[in-house]
Amino acid sequence: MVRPSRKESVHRNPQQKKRTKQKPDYLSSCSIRIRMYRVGFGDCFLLSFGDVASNGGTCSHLLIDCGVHTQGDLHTLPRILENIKQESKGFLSLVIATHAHRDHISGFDPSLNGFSGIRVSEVWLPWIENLNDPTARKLVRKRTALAEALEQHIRAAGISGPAVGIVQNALGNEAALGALRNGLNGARVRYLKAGASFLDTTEIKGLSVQILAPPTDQHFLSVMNPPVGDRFLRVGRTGKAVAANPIAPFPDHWITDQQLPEMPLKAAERKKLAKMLNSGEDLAFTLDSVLNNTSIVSLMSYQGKNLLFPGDAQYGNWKSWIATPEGESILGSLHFLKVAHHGSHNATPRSALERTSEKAFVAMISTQDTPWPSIPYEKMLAALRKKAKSVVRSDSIPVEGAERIPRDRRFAATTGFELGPFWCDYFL
Amino acid sequence: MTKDRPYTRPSFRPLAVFAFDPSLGRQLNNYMTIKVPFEALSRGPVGRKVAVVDYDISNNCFYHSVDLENPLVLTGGGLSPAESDPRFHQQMVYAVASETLRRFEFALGRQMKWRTSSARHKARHQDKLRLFPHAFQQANAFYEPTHRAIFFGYFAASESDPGSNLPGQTIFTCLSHDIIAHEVTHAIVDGVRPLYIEATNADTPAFHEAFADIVALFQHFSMRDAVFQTIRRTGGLLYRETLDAQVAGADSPAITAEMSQTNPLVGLAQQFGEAMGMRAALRSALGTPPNSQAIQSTFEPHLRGAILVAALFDAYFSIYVKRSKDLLRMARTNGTSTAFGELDSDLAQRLCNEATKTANHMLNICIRALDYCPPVDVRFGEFLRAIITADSDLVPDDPWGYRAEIIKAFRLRGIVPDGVDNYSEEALLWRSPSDMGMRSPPPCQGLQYDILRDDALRKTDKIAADDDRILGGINFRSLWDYAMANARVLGLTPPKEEGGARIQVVPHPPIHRIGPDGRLVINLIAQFLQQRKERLDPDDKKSPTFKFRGGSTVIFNHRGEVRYVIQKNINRQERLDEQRDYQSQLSAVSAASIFKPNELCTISFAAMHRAG
Repeated sequence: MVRPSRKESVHRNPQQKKRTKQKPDYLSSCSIRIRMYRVGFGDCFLLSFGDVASNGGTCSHLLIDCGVHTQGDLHTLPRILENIKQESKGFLSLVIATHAHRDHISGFDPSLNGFSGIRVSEVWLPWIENLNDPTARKLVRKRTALAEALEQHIRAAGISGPAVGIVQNALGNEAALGALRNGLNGARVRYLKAGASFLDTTEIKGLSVQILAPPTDQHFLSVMNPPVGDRFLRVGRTGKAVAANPIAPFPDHWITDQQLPEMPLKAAERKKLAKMLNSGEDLAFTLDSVLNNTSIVSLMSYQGKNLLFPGDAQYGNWKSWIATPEGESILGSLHFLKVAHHGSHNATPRSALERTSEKAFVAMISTQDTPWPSIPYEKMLAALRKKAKSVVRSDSIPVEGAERIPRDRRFAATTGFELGPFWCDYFL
Repeated sequence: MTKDRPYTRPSFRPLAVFAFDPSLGRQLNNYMTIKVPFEALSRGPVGRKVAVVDYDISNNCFYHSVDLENPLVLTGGGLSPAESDPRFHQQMVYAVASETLRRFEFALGRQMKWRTSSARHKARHQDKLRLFPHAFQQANAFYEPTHRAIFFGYFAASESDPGSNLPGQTIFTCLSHDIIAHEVTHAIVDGVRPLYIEATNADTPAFHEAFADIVALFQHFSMRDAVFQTIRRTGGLLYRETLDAQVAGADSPAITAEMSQTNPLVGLAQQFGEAMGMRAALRSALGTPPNSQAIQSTFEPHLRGAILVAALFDAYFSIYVKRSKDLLRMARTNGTSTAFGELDSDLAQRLCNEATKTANHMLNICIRALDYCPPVDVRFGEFLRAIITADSDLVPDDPWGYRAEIIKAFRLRGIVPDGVDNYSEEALLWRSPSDMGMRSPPPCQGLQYDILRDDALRKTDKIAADDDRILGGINFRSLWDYAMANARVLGLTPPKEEGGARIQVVPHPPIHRIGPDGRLVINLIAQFLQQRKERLDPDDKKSPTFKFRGGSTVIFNHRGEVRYVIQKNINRQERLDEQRDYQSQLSAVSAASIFKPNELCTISFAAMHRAG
């Protein structure tokens, strides 16, 4: 009796069997799906809550960041936007833009039309982007001015290296930011600071979110305040480098060619001094950290599972909350970590890793080594791999026309992961 | 033809400067005259130790330089303060730098030397520190050891929030008394302890900043006129943050004289701070109330340094209060008001004497302690021990309790010296080898102390600095032999032993000082250095290497006996571990390390002084 029926069932529908892979057993107990898209150098995460096993319409969806750096773009973004629309069935309960860097928000640019057919209920931005807040407005203005001055300076002075990519990342985000500030398609916009918390967030039953950063204290603000009084160069009309905002401290009649006979300054030393002054690199690095540290750090809890999304938070941002007893318990009970700042050197403090529980959490990193070869930082990843249950890098997701990292650094598929054409899912 | 009888060489050259910075205008006697030790000057001015080079890197041009020997300038006691005349800027930078240098030379009883520049930079005038009063357009001023120069920037004041400046007005950092004193102090400390610019622990960079602030702040309290005014307008409580209004007004003041002002004595670089839109001075001597926990969680060099500054000023004001209590009591029994800008002028004068005298004492105490600090890797606790030892060496009895107050202030700020059982004066003194339970080494033979005795040394009629050099050469050999023979006792690890390294000797010229009890105190201080290459991460062959250093400062008395050994042993594994730990913390904070993870983080005054 038993045997024939089994045989029958195998033969009855062999094609269907092949097409829809059987859902693994663990899925029935899962209620969260985290989809990491492979954009290139950037971040885009779609979170679904609810009955994730059935592929049915009972899930609520939440998008965290959507952007890619101009250098290191795999051009998957249009397909990703299409997929988001499809998966969410045109409705996102919440969009979080962690901070205003191109590699996190370029997908919101209205020219891409990615969100025109998607209804969004709420948009969250860090408080520093709130143009109605006088402090924030001042900082945004300063930041933009500095980035623009640096961009021209780098071009005029012929500077190459990491600074170029940094400045590109900070500029040209006005359209995307504008769309977000307008709530994409009329969503409610919230500007968040550390300490905010939500229960049943945006009507997703049982989802609570705690905002750990960015803070608003005086020290944080002073770090946020990059110097802008510096002299910058720009390319003049003749194509030569000229000063963009020059001050002549004294009228011309005070200027002389006569050097001190006792203390002459040789041409070589003058050249060296000019070089010391014009590198601009330090300022670019500072500007980058400043913006990264405005990242919204959100801790989500859903059905007893804790997920941490720290955006691009670097050391300064973590420091503001990690030392508290609360920070300790958060890290100790983590189930999922989005690795901050594409796995860069100081975006996952050692002290933070130490506080996590051994083999208790899964980590995902959206990263690749273009445009900055120093990101991700392999040593940090090694430490992370030791501590986490498993670690998945976005550049190990096979995407047509894109390089994959060497086999030994790819993730070993463990329970809970599924690969898509340009994404990786994690179910928990 | 009769020849003029020669004139006596003057001791001082009076030069006018701003007591604070141009933003205070003429109030509070903001114009003051510094009596700079006399030296012949050429255009620049270029003196023996400092040279003002007015080259503008941003605009690639030179500005006309001042000739302080011109009779028209000489007669007026230098140029009068003028913001629009670059020659006055040069004069002010020169005067304040020379004054700061003089205070160190006075306190330490010897000529100061700048950092020896590497062969690459050997210029004709390598014994001078160069000051660039208008170096570039940047809200920044910094000392740069490789160029052996201090660069002062200029910038446009904030358009929206310029404080008491005009919006967009050009602000010159070289006109801020505090900034000049601060930067010159960096250069001087770098000359005395060149290895302190290496980031070896959280205290070392903070110490550099704190020391520079301490010197700049205590200089405020030696400006008699400004102190006098402040005392009158604070009822003798010169540490208050605000000055009383000049006239009593209603609740809502209508004219400036009715408003209280911030006390310029306790703030640093007021104009700079205001021009950056900070509404206040860059830093203040008045920290938050004593908090023994702050030191454990504050690591940014300026903020951490501020803890040390606050501790010393706490002690200073306590001693001032102690010294002036009787005066105020006498005044009160007479019915004289000591409140609200009405302090009797005679009383104010007497209080002013106490305040300036105490400030000078405190500054001297701090500067002298520098010689008693270890050659590398200094910590706040060691500075405390250095202060206590140096001061009790020179001033055995301490009737006003300076040392007790200093110890108390450090204790309240949670600054704990390593290897000390308690905060008593005896426990804090540095130890000699026998105190540490080792055999006493024999006296060091052949040390030359006397710069006058041996005429053979004085081949030419050179100035004292050259004597120092000659003596250094003689003592060098004796000290090296001595160190090789007694390495262990001196806290060194001999080259042949495991973890040992070559011993390098840095002799200082002997010090002759007269204590307040009339005794002549003669000491000779030598630094012994060792270094070894270590990887930042011992388990990673690709990790960058750094120089791990150790050594000791040894203080000899006039018989060549070792009085104190202040050691940082190169063979202590904990030191190496701590240093590695600190380096990795440093790179965790640094923005550059994201893009250059394999480069070591170093202290850059340029980056650190950026906008405070």
